[in-house]
Formats: sequence, C-alpha cells, structure tokens
Amino acid sequence: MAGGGDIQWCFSQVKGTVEEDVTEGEAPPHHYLSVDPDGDSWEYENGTRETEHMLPGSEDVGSDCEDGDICNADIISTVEFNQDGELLATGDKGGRVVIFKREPPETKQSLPRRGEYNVYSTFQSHEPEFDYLKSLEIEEKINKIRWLPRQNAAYSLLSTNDKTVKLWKITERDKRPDGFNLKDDEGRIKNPNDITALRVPFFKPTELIVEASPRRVYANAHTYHINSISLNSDHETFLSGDDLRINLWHLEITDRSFNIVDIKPANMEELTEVITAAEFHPSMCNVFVYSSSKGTIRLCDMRQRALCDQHSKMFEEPEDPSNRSFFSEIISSISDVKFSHSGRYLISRDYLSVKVWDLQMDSRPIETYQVHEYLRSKLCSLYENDCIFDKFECAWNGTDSQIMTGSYNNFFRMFDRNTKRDLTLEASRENTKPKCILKPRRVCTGGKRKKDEISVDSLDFNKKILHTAWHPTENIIAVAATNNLYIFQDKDKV
Amino acid sequence: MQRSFVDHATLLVGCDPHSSTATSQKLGVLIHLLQFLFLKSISKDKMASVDAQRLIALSIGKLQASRSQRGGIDLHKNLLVSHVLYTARTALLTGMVPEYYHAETTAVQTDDDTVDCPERVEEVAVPVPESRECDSALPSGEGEGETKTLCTLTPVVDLAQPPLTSASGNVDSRLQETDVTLTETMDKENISTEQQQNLTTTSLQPAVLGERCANVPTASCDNKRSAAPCSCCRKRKQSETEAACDSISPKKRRIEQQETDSESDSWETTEDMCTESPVSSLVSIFNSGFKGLVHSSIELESEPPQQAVPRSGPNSSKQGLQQCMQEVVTSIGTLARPIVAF
Repeated sequence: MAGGGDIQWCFSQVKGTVEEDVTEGEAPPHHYLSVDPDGDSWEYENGTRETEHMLPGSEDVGSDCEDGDICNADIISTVEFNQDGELLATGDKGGRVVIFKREPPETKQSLPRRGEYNVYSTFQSHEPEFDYLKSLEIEEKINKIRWLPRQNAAYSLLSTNDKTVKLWKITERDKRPDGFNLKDDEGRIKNPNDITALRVPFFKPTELIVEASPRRVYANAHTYHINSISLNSDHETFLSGDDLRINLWHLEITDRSFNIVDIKPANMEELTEVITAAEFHPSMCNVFVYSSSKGTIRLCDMRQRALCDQHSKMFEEPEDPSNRSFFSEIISSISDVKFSHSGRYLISRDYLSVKVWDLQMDSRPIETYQVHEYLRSKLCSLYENDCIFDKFECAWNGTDSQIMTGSYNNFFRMFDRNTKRDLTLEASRENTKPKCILKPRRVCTGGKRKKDEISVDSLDFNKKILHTAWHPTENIIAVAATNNLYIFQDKDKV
Repeated sequence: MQRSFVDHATLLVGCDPHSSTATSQKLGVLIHLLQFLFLKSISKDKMASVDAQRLIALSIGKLQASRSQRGGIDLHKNLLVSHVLYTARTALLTGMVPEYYHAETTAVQTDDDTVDCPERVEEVAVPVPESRECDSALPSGEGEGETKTLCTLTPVVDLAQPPLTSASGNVDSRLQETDVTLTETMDKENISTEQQQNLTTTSLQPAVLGERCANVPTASCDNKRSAAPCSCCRKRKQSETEAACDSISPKKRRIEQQETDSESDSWETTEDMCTESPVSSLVSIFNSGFKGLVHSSIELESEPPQQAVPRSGPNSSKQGLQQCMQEVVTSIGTLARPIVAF
C-alpha cells in the first residue's frame, strides 16, 4: 500500500524446499534450494540430519525423510526472533531447531543494507519418545521457542515439545588450542623420549563452529500437551502451560516446578474448557495471562495466592446471539494471546478475528479486526476438513502500532492500529525476485470478481500461515508457510 | 392441544375426508398433495436437520480418528468436537436447528457464494408469490376459482401455527398470518418465530428424523399408516444405537439420563475414554441410520398420494419442487369447483 507512512513490504529471503510447498501426504522432494536477492543459489542433496557444525552463509535446512514418508518433519511449527532481532529461530515438526543469524553487511554501501539472515546453527532439540505407561507416542514437534536474554557470549533458548521443555545454550568457537607438548597435532600422546623442546601452547584461529548443547531438561511435569512457554521478566523463572495446568519453573531447577493454575475438574466429564495459551507480562513479573477455548482471557496475579485458579481480571466479549451457530464455540476459541511491548495491551486471536484488549478494561476489546470474515459462511466445510481447528498466531510490531496474523492460501494480514488500514499479502514463490515489492491481495466475497482478486472458493486451505514473527525493533517479518520460511522487509531500508 | 394438519384442512373445506363420496376422495388426494407440498415448503428446515445429522456423524468420526493419531488424544480438539456434537444433538431434539443453521448459511448476506440460501429462497418463493396474489385478490372480493383455490394453499401452510381458536371464517387474517410466516421462513435474517420452529420441526421430526413422538399431530389414519413403518424402523435403529452405547462408559449414560429423556441417550457419545469398536459401530449407524431414516420417511410420505408425485430424497432439487407445484396446481384446478363451493 502506497501512501505516507505506510510500509511497502518487499521480499528478502526464503528458506526451504524449492518444490511446491510440502503438505501432509505428499512425497518428499530431494533438493533444497535457497534463493538470495543477489541471485546466487545453492543446491543441496537431501542430506542427513545436521550436527552442530555449520558454516555461516550456507543454506542447508536439510531434513531426514525416509523414502515414501511425507516430509512432515520439515513443516515449521514455530518462529521467534530474539530480543535484539539478530537471531531468528525456527522449530519444525521433526524436532529440529534452525537458527538464522543476520550477517552485518559487508560494506555500508552494499545492498541490502541490513544484511541477510543465514543459517547459524541447526540441532535436533527433541526426539520422538514413547510413554510406556500410557502406550502413547510423544511427538517431537517443537511447539514453542523462547529466547532468553543474552547474558554472556552464548545465546540461550527454551524449546518445548508436548511434554518436555529444554534449555539450549548456543556457543561459538573460533579458536582452538594448539602447540601442546605432550600431544601431537592429531592429539596422540607423544613418546616422552621424543620430546626435546618445551613450548607454550597457544590459541590458533579456526573456522567458526557453532555448538548447541542442552543445559537443562525440565521433564515430567505435564500430563497434557504443552502449548506455551513464557519467560518471566525477572529472567529467572518461566511458565509452561498445557491444556489444563500451568507450571512455574526456575531456570536452574529441573526436578520440580510449582503448579500455579489448575483447571482440571474433579470429574473429567465436566470438562468445559482448556487452556490454549499463556504468557507472562513483559514488565510485571507477578502478572500473567492465559486464554481458554471458550474465548476468555484470564489475568492472574501471583502475589494473591499460590494457586491462581481465581483470576484477577477476566477479558471476555459477550457472544453476538445473531451469529450463533453450531461452530460458535470453536471459532471463539482463542489460539494465541500476546502482550504488547508496552505491557498496556494484549491481542488475542480467535478463528476469524484479532482483538486488542486494554488491560484496564475487561468488558470488551478496544479494537477488533476481522481476518477472514468471508469464511464465516464456510464453517461447515472447514469443520469437515479440520481447518476450523487451525491455531493461528498473532504478533505485534516493535512500536505496538501494527498487528500481524496469518490466514489461508499463504496470505497474511497486517492491521495498522492508527490508520485502521489493513493489508493482505501473500507469501509465495512467485514473488521471490530480489527486492520485489509485494502486491496487496484481495479476496472477493461475492458478486463480480474483479481483476487480481481471488474468490473464496479458490483459496487453498492447505496453504496456511500459522506462525509469524516481527522483528522487535525494525520492520522485518518472518512468515512460516508450511515448510518455507519467508523473510520480508520494508522497502525503504532495503 | 395442537390440531392435526388434516383436521385443519377438513375444517377449512368443510367436509369429511373419510366420507365415501368421490369429492371427498379427491379431497383426500388433495390433502396428501398439500401435505407433500407443506413438507417441501419447509425443506430449508429439513435441510438444516439433515445437516445437523451430518454434523453428528462427522463429529463421531473425528472423535474416533483422534484415537489413532500420533501423539495421543488432542484434548482441545476433542472437546470442541464433542461440543459440536452436543450442540447438534440438542438442536435436533429441541427443534432449534433452523436457528443454528440459518446463522451459518446467511452469515454473509450479499454473498453469492452462500449457495444454500438463494436456492431455498427460490424453492419457497414459488408458492409465496401466488399467495401474495391471493392477498391482493381477496380484498377486491373477486378472483377466479383458481386464485381462490390457490389461496387455500397458504392457510394449509399456516396450519403449522399453534391451534387456531376459530377454524372457520376469517380467511383474511389467516392468510395475512401465513404471509408473514412464509416471509419469515424466507427471511434471510433468520427471525423465525419460536412457534414456527417448534411446530415445523416437531411436525417434521417424527416423519423425517425418527425422533421422539411427543407433540406429533397424528389424528389422521393416513398419517398413522405412514408413520407406523417409520416408527418401526425408528425403534430398530434406536435399539442398535442403544446397544452400541451400552458398551460405552456407563457413567456418561447415567448423567445423560438425568438430563434428558431416554431416547436422547442413544445418540450420546463419549468425550474421552471409549473403546474403538462401539464408536466405530456408532459411526456406521449414524452414517447409514440418518440417511436410511430420512429416505424411508420421504418415501412413505410420498406414497399415499395417488397421483404421480415424484419421489425425492432429502435434498430435493428446485426442479423437483417446481414440478410438484405444477402438478399440484393442475390437480387443484380440477378440484376447484367443490372447494369453491364451500
């Protein structure tokens, strides 16, 4: 969208497989290509699982699919920038975490002026497990990644699957000791009789090696599937939330956690709602919120009592009776909740809309943005193909003036809170020319279809954008489209 | 007490459908034709009921499929699916289906893509313009036999309303009521009266859905005849589902029995721990049972009329309806005189 103050988004990078986006049920492709704006490209064979050793600048996002198996493992399940935006982490269904780091531009005059995100580290965070007691398989899919603030040269992040949270430390090594007296260059012990001279060992620069090692494993605290983790502003504790309970952990202590929310009824047959997302307040270390499948958001204060079953505030909008249908409950279920950077507002994403809430007013949201209202009449078919259960995430920009969320057909939507304008863009391989400006897309809801519009029936519901992330300070966005990661920037800075 | 459809028709035309005269025989035919027409005119609600049944079958299928998926049962999804199941079931039993259904299908009013509504509006639109013509014709006091005969159509539809205090006379007011009723039926805004819902769906249910028999107008022996086989197959289906449900958690059934009557138990499924085979049998029963019920009911309903009325399934096409309409109109034309004579 042109106009004063509006951002024009253009393509920056895409990571992932080159063929048609892999959806469940398709055979895995065997070549991986990454296209960069300067036109260079690399091609890799379907490789083995990566170790910690990765060179910056290489684009391998390899997977380890078995023949005939769907490349489910490549589907990105979470995207997260770190606090300064230099690192971008993605988790996928195969339990891998891939971290991209923004390289500084070579010279100040070179383009892109911001530098690109290149693979920094890849490691296997979680492996598939088997619960012998319940005879259930535990998926290795990474549900959430949260970065810890940097306290030394190493980076730390929390990653979680359905049952276990892990703290990973990512360290760089670019020197190695050399010149030992008792060992030779290959590391073999020298014959003491052959040693004739004495020398001081020294550090020799070597190629950069990025290593990721699990520092803590927080296990066996959740009966149900973990859907959220959130680091506290005190940088010492974090919460992990599953369908019915939220636990509070200390980063250093792995053998116990405190249960702070428990909505499990005494009789499971009386279950009416589950927890869908939870997050700590960005500055108030005692406040957190959790959302439910019934469309409510509860704010809790940990100072009140140890078990925060009773909320301090409940944010709920009364249901519009004229919109009541069989699926009212499903579409009111909140899939994501995010505090603004200021801590004053929070956004909640339900199936059809994004709502902005003021923490000081719990009666109704202050703003509501319709993401894809044209789907309201299609709810029955969406129920049939299970799309109605998709959990879309939402994101704030750095200044809390814009909101972004995903939709179907690889569309994602951005809402400007000040101008009240909305924008629909598409993440597709057709727009991957360097610095190609993204054209706004429109969905035709009825009547005559204008040129460049797409009709509701032509939408591809297998191509969905569930996970998006916005750089904490700049206008750079990362959009996960099934197994591809698109990075877009605003035009002015490119 | 609600009068039966046939009772109203009898009072309106002023003769006994069971008398042996030729006129009354023809009248009997007319009544059955009109009954058929009545069912067609509320096909939108019927469609809604069929969709509710389909939702129930879908939901059960999803619950069963979730047991075999990797990673264990997704509690959130299962909860939502069971909620849809419960809502659809409750809607069917209480007759609130049109309310839910209309909200979905008419969500986007100007939307050409809402396929269902425009079609059904056209289906119902066929009799309505004629009734509107009647309205304009009546005050003038004129009208040919046909027009007046057509007007008798609308009060028949109006019979779905709660018992009229005076059956005779005051055709005008009844017509106006009917006009409002039909308008409401057509109304995309879905402001259908509670009365209409209760009556259209309760009169619809025993014939089509095979649900409980309460509040069913069954005065006519013809209705009883057609309803009897229906109730047989209903009972058979219910016993199968009950058998399937018996093997599912008994705790759930106890709770359900406290809330609703025994018939609705047979439709309930579990939200959590359940063995696969009873659920799969439920799935197959629902998949075939509803369709079987609906089909058998429709066939039975369409049998009695002696004239060739086209048989149709639950999803009758627009052309089928129009054909029916034309046949009814022609047949009514032949009966015009005796009716006008009233």
